[in-house]
Amino acid sequence: MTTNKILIIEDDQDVVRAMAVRLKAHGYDLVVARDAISAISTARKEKPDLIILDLGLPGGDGFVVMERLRALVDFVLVPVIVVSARDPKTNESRALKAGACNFFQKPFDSAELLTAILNVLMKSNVPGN
Amino acid sequence: MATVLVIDDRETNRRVLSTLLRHTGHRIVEAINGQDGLSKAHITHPDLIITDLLMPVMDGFEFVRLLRADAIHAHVPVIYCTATYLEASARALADACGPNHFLTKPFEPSTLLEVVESALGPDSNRQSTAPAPLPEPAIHEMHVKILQDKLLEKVDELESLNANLEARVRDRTLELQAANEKLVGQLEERERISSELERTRKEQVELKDQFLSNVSHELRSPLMVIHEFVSILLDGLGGPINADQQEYLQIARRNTIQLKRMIDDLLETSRAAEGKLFIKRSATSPIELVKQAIRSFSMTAASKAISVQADFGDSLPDVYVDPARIIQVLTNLFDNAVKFSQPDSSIAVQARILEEDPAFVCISVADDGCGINVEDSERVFERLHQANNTIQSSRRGLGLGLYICKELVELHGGRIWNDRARQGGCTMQFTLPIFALGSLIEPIVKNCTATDSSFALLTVEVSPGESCSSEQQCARTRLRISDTIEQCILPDLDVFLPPQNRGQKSFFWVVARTDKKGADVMEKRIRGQLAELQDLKKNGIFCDVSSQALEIDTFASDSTLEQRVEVVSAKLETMLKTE
Repeated sequence: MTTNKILIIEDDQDVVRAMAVRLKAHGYDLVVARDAISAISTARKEKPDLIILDLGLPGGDGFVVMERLRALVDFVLVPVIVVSARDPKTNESRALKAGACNFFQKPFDSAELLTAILNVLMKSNVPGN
Repeated sequence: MATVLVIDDRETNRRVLSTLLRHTGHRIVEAINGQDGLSKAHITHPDLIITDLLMPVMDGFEFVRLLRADAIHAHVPVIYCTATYLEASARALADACGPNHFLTKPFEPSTLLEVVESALGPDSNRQSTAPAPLPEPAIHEMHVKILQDKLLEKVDELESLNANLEARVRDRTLELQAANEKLVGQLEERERISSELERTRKEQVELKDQFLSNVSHELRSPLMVIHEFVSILLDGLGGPINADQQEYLQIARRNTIQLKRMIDDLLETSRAAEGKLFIKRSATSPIELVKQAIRSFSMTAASKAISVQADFGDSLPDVYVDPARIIQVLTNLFDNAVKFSQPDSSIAVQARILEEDPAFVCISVADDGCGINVEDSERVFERLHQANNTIQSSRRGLGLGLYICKELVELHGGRIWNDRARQGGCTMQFTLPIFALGSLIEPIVKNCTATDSSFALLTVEVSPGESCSSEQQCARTRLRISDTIEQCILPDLDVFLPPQNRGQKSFFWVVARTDKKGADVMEKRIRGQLAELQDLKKNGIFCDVSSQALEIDTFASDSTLEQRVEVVSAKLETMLKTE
């Protein structure tokens, strides 16, 4: 089984670092984009298997990034997990409608995030590979 | 010595004249008007008459005219004493009426005496100065003319006074109007200022709540980083740690969790202030709720060696609540109980039907801690209130916990209070409404007639796929299904019953006020909408949508709403059980 590549789109370096430690410990490959503009180009170049997306980003809202990604042929089905400090009461359903698989509010339980990543990847890997 | 007749309608005037003349040795006779003067003249035959002109009953001229008619008095000198008749015509008339003198009021006493003496002068003198009296009709004519002139003059005077008065009234009215306008202006200004103040106050409250909301969101990110790295170290991802290090890190993590809870409280409070606290109710077992809350709380209780004793008595009916919110309330109450309890004590949790109102379940949380003062027992539920007797606890918290509990319980239609009946410790009690099918469907039964009584039950049965990844994931999916169904119903005609989980399956029900045909349409729409939910397929979740009409004969025309609700809910209950 190939190593799965995860793109983290998040402007807070410390948050990225914390996720990176966890994800690397679980054997994932990581690429990082720190703003909305580089997020799209990085995604195109790196072709990640899964995207972790923050909503408050410099250069554009996370929802806009998701919309752009969904418009790209290669990214119609790539799973997106939204991780945001925003109020889930208003943002969760919006994120799910926009095509996210999950919504986690910061601070999140890292074990739950890892489980979600694992599940999402298992499902999307089945038809693809 | 001479006899002097003094005629004046004013007593003061008569007295002045009498006093002055008596002093000079004359005999004085007084009369109060022309008529009185005439009769007194006939009796006393005066040598001199001093008369006022303007008098009631008979004026001075009339008096002299009638006096002269008597030959005896034809040549008696008359002194006219007047402040009014100063015109030449009046003099002419006086002259026409025989010998006379004029005294203008007011006069000096010496002037009076001079005039009197000259009038009383030697007879020869008197005779010579006396002009020939005019014939009677001429005198009368002159008198009338004078009176007329005087009248006209007075009318003019009145008119000018009147005009003057009107002008003054006009001036004053204008002044009053100006003052009034000024007052109205001031009032409007004051109103404007006060509404401005109110607006500013509202803005500030909104600003504050917005600020609170922003701050708590912003606090989350750094808190998350701290929490994450502490967890990473604890999990050994940063290398091996010794026992001491592990203990310290655990303390750090426990505190970040506490901080997270405070931030949540801040957010809840600003939501409550904005009226944005929402609840999603379902029929829930109160016992399960309490058990779940105790489970998630056992660690904290154990850290202080506090035991939790639960007493539920017999089975309890389901309550109609948002489970997550009620667990939040219970957690808050447990938190307080532990905070104010001594180590090695116990907390007692009870759930029972409320005696006073069997439509509610009452849950109580009692501790053996320091209790709450009488004066604090109401106020503890206020926003930001903190009891003063907070024992050795160095952590006072934000003073929001009980406020949020109160908001949440009241949002469910229950109430929360501090029960002071028990001595020692603190007992918090709150009530939750028992789930009743009847009260849910009452609104749609209410507006149907005896003959139009068609109802249908739509059922969505959800079977989980092989790979429903986690409980959280399943809950999310259920939420999405529930949202989708909700979008397909009309709130006035349909009632979305609280979903139920039976084993692996979940059931969603809609009671619709429609016949079988309408139910078929709804069934199709719900099925179509659910088919569009992508992750149902992705997660291998299967939804079966079905509908059936409620077999209700027409209601008895005299049946009450309660009876009708009873009929429909009985029918529904059998149908729901057999599903």
